[in-house]
Amino acid sequence: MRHRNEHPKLMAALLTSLVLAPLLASVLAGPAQAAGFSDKVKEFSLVNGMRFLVYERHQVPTFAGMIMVKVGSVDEATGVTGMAHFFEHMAFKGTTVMGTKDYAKEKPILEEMDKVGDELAAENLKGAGADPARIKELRDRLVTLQEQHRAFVVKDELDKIYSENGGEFLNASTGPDTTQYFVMLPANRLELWFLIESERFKDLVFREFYSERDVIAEERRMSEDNDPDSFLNEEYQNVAFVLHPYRHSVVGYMEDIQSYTKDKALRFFKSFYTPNNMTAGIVGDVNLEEIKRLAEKYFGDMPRGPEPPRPSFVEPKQKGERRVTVRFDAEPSLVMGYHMPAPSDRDNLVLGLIGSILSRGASSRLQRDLVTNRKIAQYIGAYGNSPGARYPSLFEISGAPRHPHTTRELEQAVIEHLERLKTGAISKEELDKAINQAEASLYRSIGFAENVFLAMRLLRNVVLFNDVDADFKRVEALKTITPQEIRDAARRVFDESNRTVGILLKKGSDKTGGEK
Amino acid sequence: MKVRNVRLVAAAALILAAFSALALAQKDPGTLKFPDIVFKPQRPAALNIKTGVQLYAIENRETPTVNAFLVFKTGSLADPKGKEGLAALAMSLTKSGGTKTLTPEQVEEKLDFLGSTIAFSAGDEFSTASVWSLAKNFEATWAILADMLFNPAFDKDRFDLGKKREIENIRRRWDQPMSVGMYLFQELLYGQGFPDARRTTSASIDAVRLDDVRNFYETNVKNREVVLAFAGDFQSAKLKALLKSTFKNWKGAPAPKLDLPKAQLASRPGVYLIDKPDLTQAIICMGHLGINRLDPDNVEIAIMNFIFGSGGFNSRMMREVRSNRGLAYSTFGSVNPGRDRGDFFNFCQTKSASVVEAITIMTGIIADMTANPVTAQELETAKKYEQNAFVHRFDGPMAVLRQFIYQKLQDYPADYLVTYLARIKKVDAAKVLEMAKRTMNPKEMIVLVVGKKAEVLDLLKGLNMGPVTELPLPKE
Repeated sequence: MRHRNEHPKLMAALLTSLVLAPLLASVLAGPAQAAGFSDKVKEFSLVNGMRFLVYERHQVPTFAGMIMVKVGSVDEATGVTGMAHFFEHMAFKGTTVMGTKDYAKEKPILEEMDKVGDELAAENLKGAGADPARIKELRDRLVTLQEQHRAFVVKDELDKIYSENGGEFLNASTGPDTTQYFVMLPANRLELWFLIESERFKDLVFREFYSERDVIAEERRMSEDNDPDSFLNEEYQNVAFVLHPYRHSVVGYMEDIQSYTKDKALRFFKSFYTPNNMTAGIVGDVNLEEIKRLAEKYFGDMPRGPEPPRPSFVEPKQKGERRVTVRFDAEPSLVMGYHMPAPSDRDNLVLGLIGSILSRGASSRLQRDLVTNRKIAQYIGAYGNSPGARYPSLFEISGAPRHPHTTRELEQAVIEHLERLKTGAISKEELDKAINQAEASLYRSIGFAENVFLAMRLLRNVVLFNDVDADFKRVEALKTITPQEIRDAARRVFDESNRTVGILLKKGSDKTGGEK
Repeated sequence: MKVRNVRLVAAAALILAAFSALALAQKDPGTLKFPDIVFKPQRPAALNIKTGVQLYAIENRETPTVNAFLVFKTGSLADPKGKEGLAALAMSLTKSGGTKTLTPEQVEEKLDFLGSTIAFSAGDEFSTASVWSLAKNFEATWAILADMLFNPAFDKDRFDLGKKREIENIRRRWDQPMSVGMYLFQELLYGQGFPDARRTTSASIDAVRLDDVRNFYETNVKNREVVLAFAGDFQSAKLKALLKSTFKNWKGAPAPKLDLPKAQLASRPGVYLIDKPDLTQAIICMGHLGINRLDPDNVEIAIMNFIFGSGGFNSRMMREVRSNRGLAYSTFGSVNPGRDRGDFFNFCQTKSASVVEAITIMTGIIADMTANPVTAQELETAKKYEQNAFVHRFDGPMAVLRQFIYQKLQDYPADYLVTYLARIKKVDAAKVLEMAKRTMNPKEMIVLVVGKKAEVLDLLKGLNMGPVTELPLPKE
């Protein structure tokens, strides 16, 4: 994610893959009676395969535009982890027209930088055998070139143009499954949005490639290395998956980040940033016919590309419990995961309902028992499809023990509840409650930037599930789940040999965490 | 193909060329021109329920939902010394402690079944009760909220739970390195006892008794002035009748006045270091006191801030520290209007080795703001942004309500939003320089670094900003 200061929490939520699903389940929704968006949202496609979703909401003269590209960290090959996110940063650097004073003069410097950058990446890849003197020499050379290059750059011009035109909430986010670019603008700036969004992909210049790599290194230090939750999560995911690319974090390994080359980035871009892999969502005070005209004008000449390469791994069946303990200067926390099937499988739906029964609302099982009554958890949550929903993923329970209780006690208590699901009764009232909550949450508004969140929700429905009403239909389907199905799914999934446990303990505490 | 009519073909080619030129996408955004948007901010309708109970409502039927909040003029500023955390505990227990006729469990069960949410929380100056429900469940949900408000039971076990929860939050407060910086910077700025900068401790939470909670409710919430804000699928007349009946016996008396001290810079300017040996980055928080929210330049300051450090990639801070040098992912700064003095706050998180370079750049930018006029280009970008992005402030009924109500509660002039853009238009470079000189003072800078001492201390000593004072990380 690029960075702005407004609404940092919600922005973080919008970015963070883990929060993505619950957040999206609670965004503002559509018509009063009808099930879903289909009567309000108009869809059309260009010949090159690019899809558009248009939702006219004539309340305030503004609109949100979002382009969702079906590429995320799950599409990254070994050795280029973090590339989807890195590319997202690159897409703010301009074109041969935007961001430059004179592209003809700029170009040779950029090419020279790439030569030095390639040599530097090659040296870095030698790991312990790298020559520090050579690295320093190359780095110094790069700095000199960067200074020369700066004379031709109009800094962050894309951002400047949007801002001068009243762009707000300008940002992008990358998750395991998708990457999305968005901004809110006054309604009469529609054509500006089309121009910038098409040019940034049609005529992209990989500008400031090497200094941006340093920015991302800082982003990684901030969001992964110095944050206890992410610190634990990265190791835990690495253990929970042995093969599938859901195992690595969105921001990627520092070692990979340091060895990106322009060539690797360009190949990635060409594979995934094709119109047939992009969907636009436009929500607000706009007009469908105008959008059709502008879509053809600005995106119509983008050539269709081949189908993007997709990960061809099936995560091997887990055969025994896996555990990882990390040490950090923070109070203890716990995350437990069980492999679960993808959304196309009925068990995926059932596990969604199980997540609600376990932890949605103060009267849910885990909140009531562990937080309120026994007071052993400070917080706890259970949810499916983590980190992503495009491929089979994990059903996760994460929480923190309340001192003096330990992660071990919390883990045991959670397991007891999962066991109970396998054989215990589930009352009609408990089922109805979970369904009512899910239904209500379809209409929940987040109270600001509604057009952006609505666009995100529509796009997610279409890009991941190929149905603009996917979330409404999912709630309808919940109503058909029987208690026996819940017991069966629990038995299939909550097995010790299918479990990964990640624990964060405070540095310096003893083996049990010195928690007690 | 054999060409038979050259002229006709030429004409067709011309037409085609003209047509494709028309449809040809532009590459340069400079070729597109847009007028300013014509837009009149929505104002919520004010409906008087009774003296001290004011309703603002916006009907909106896009979704079958009702969204509302109630504001009370009380908060943690009213916490007695030694009982910090009382207001927060009292507000949350008003909700979670059950009512005279419903146990806490029954309340939770009912709300979850309805799919509704109710939340009570305390801020510094204002506290709120908020409610969200499907329109069809609104009356049932509202009845629960009213029951909480009129007949709270303050359940003893829920009270203990609330205290335990806060004590655990305190244990976890320093887990996030950024929160170490934020809390302790406030303390350096205002001093430990200053009402706006106090934080809870396990001792202050321990000291709160159930009777304190009851007293807080009786003194500051019950029968006090309240502002009601409603948006969604309802009929105003019906809503008004419902609320009249709910608040029939509510007095609506003015909130008790608090006697609060004036802020003074509480620490010597200079560099302060807190050791967190695990960190690979240094967290830099620097600045000094700011301005009052009713300061005569409380609109104009937005232009200065945008250019300086709040305008994202258009700001000098982001451009220099991040974009040009790759020293940080997150960096920003601004002079923030506040209740008393607000603050001048600047932030950067950078790898240990770059700590001095980052501070030097940041202080350099501040010094330049106070010495030289901003460029015409910077000024134009900032003003255009304010002009064209203004409409987003009114993006949805809740945004309209929140803005309108809080500005009123905080004594902003009634025409604040009406005159906003006219005031923005008048700002020039001389005005920005004058504001920077008045609100930024490089000599008063408090620089707090949270980081790995072994890596940053010697570097910080090389900064030309006086001695480095090492502070222990407080236990809580």
